[in-house]
Amino acid sequence: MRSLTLFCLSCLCLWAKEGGTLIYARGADGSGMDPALVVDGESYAATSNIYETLVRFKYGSTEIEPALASSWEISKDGLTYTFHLRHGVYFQTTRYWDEKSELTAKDVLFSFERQTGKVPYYKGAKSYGYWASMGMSSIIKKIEALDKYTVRFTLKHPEAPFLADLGMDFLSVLCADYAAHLKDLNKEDELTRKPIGTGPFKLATWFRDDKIVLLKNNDYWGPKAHLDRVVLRVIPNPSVRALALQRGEVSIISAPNRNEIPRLASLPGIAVDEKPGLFVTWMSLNLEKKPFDNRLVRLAINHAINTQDYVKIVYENYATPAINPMPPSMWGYNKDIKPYGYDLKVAKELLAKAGYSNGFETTLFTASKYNKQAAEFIQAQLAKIGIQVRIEFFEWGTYLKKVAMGEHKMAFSGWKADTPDPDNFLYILWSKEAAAEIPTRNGSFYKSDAYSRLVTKAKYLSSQAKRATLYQKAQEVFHNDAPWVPLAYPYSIVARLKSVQGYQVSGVQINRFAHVYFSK
Amino acid sequence: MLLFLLKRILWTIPTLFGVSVLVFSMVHLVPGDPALVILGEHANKEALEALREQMGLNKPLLEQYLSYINHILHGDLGTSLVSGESVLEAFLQRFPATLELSLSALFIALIVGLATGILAAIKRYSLFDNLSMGFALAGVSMPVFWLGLMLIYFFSVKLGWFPVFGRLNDAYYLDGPTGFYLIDSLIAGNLPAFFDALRHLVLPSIALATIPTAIIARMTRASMLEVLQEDYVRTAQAKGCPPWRVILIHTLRNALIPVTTVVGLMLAGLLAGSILTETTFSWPGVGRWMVNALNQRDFPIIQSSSLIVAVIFVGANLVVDILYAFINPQIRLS
Repeated sequence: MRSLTLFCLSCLCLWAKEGGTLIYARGADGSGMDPALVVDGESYAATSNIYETLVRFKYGSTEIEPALASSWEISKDGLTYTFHLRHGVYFQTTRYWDEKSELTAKDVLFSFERQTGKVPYYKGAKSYGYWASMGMSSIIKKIEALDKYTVRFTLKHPEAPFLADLGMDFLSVLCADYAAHLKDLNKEDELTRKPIGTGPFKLATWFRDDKIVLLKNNDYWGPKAHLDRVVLRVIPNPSVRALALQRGEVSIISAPNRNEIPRLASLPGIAVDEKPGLFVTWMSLNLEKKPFDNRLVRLAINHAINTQDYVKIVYENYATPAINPMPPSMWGYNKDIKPYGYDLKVAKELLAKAGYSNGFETTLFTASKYNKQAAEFIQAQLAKIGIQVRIEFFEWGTYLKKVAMGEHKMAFSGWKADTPDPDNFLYILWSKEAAAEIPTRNGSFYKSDAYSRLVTKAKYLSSQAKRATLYQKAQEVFHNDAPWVPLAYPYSIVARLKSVQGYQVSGVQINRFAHVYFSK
Repeated sequence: MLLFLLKRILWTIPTLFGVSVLVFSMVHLVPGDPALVILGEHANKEALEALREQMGLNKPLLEQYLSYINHILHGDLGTSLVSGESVLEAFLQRFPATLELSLSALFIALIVGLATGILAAIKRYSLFDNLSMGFALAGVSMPVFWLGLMLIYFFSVKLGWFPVFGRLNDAYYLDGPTGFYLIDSLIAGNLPAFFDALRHLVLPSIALATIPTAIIARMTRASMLEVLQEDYVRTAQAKGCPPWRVILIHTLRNALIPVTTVVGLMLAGLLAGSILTETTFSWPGVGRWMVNALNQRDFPIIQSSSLIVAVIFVGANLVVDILYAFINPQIRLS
C-alpha cells in the first residue's frame, strides 16, 4: 500500500511538471530558420529547439554528449570521425509537411554538402556565413555515408575542436526529403521560414517581429519536453519587457536593464538568475603602433586600471574582473594566473623604465553602442599615470571595420563563445595566423611564436587532458606578454517568474527549452 | 483643371527621382562595411568576401544605383539580406498593423483635437481654454517613448486595464484576409478576440495620437477664432441664429478647411512616424521593421522602405493639393 502511495505521489510529481505555455520575451526576432544561413543568436533561440545536431552540449554546461549520433569513433591519427546515427528518429510532421521521414545518413550528407557547395540549394546564391567563418571547408576533406546509419568525415588535418564544432547550430541536420520536396515546388526559400527538424519542439506559427510559437513534439525520440508550448515574443524595449514580466504576461525575459534588476528581484513572484556567461571583454592594445610594442608600457597600463572599479561602474557589479582570454567556466582555464593588480606606483615605474616618465598621448576607439562610461573610466585611470587618452566614437559598422583593419591604438573588444572549446578563444582571437588575416579578429596584432605554437599544437591533439595542459601554458605566455587589458567576464542575466524552473543561464545554447517546466 | 492635375502629377517624378538618389547615396556613403556588420566579429575574410559579392558591394556605385532603379521599375524591391524575404512582401505583411494603429490614432486625434479646439475657441481665455492649450503644448513637446512607458506603467501595470505589449493575446489566433485585427476578428465572428485587439490598441493609439491631437486642437482653435471674427458669422448671430447653428454650420465648416488639408499629411506622418510607438509597445508594424533593418544594415529594406514612405508622403501631398484645388478654385488658377 505504502509503495503504491509512493508510486502515485511520484506520478503526481512527474505529472506536475508537464504542460503549460512558456512565454520568453526578448529584444529582437531571429532573421531566419535555416540554421546554416543565419548568423544571429536570436535565430538560434528557435532553431536549436526545432533542429538537432550529431552531438550536443549538455544543457547548461560545455560538456559534449550524444544527440543524433548515438556513438562515434575517432581514428588514432585524428583524421576520420565515424558517427553512428540513432535508429528510429523521425522528422517532425506539421501542417506544412505531413510525411513521416526517418533520419538517415542522407539527411546528414545533405545538411553538410549544401554548405560545402557540392549540393547546390536555394535559387539565389546564399552565403553560408558560419561555415565560412569557422573555416569548415579547410577542415573537412570528404563526408561519406558508409551505410544508412553511419556517416564518416575525413579531415584534411587533425582538428581537435571538430567534435565540439559539430554541436553548433549551423551544423544542424535538416530533412533531405523535405528540402527536395520544396525544390520540386520551386520553393526552396521556404526552408528558411518553415523548418522541419527532429527536435523536441516544432514550429506552429511565426509572425515576424512579433512571435514564434513552438509546439511540443510528441513524437520526439528522447525524453519529451515538459512544456506544451513555447512562445518567443519580441519586446524591443527592456523596460517594457520588465513590466510585462511584472504583470505576469510573459514568463522569462532576456537582458533586463541592469539598473532595473534590484527592483525586479525584490518583487515577490520574480527571480533573477545571474551567472558568468561564456563571455570576455577587454581592451586591445595594438602592438603594431608605438608605444604599445613595448611590453613595459602594456604592463604599466595593466597595473593602472582598476578592474574591480571598472566592473562596479560599467557593469554595476554584474560581472567579475577578467584575468585570462577565456572565461573561467571553460575547460583548460589556468586558475594559477593572477591578475597584475592595481598599483599606480608600479605602473609609473614601469612607464619610466620604458622611457615614458612623462606619459604620452594616445587614442581609444569605441563604438557609440558601447557604454560611454567605460571609455571615460579608462581615460581617467590612465590620466593618473600621465597617459592622455583621446576617446574616438564611431558608429558600430565603422568601428568594427576600423578595428578589424588595425587603425586603432587602443580599442574595446569582446567575445562570446559559440562553441565550448578553448580554441574558439585562444586560437581564433590571439594566434599569429589570426593576426595575419586582414580584416583580423586579433585586435592587438599579437604575433607571438611561442604562443601560436602552443595553441596550434593543441588543435591537432585529440586528448583533452593534453590539450588542456597546452592551453594552460599558452595562457601563461599570453599573460606574460600582456597584449591586452583584461576587463570583465560579464554575467548572463535573465529574470523569470519564480514558477519557471529548469532554465540555465550559462553554457552555450541556453535557449533550449526542453528542460524547462512550471512548478505548480 | 486637367492641366493642373497633369502638371502636379508630373512634378512628382523628379521628386521621387531625387528621393531615390538620396536614399541610395545615404546608405552607401555611411562609412563601415555592411558585410562586417551583418556577419559580426565572427566573420573571416572568406565569409566577408562571399557576402560582399552576394550584396553586389564590389560593383561601382553607379552600376549599383542603375541596377537598383531597374529592379524598382520592374516592381522588384529586392530581398532582405538578413532574412532573405522579399521586401515588398515583408512590407505588405507589416503594413496593416501600422495602418490600423495610425488610423486609430488619427481617429482619436480628430475627435479629441476637434472637440478641444472648438470648445477652447468658444470659451476663449477661460480656464478650459488655458488648461487645454497648456496640455496641447505639453502634448507636442512630450517624447513619445516616455509617454508610452508612463501609459504602460499606470494603465497596464498599476491599474491592470490594458495589456503591456503586442497586438493580440496568445490565446487568440487570427489569420484573416485584411490583416486588421479589429476587422478580421469581426469577420471571424470572434468577439473576444475583437475586444482583446481593441484593448491592445488603446494605449499605443493614445501615445501616437498625442502630437496630432495637440496640433489639431491648436489649429482648430486658431482657425475657429479667425472665422468667428468674420462678418457673416456676426450677421448670422445678428439674425438670431441659435448659437449651436452659428458654431457648427457657419463657423466650423469654414474653419475646418485648413484643418482638413493637414489631416491627409498627418496620416502620412503617422504612418512614417510610428517608429517610436511601435518599438515601445512591441507593435509588429513597419516602423519597428525599419528600425531593425537600420540596426542590421539591411540595405534593400532601408532603401525600399524609405522610398515607400517617400511615395506615401508625395502621394498624400498630391491628394491634398488636388482636394484643395477642388475646395478653393483660386489655387489651380494661380
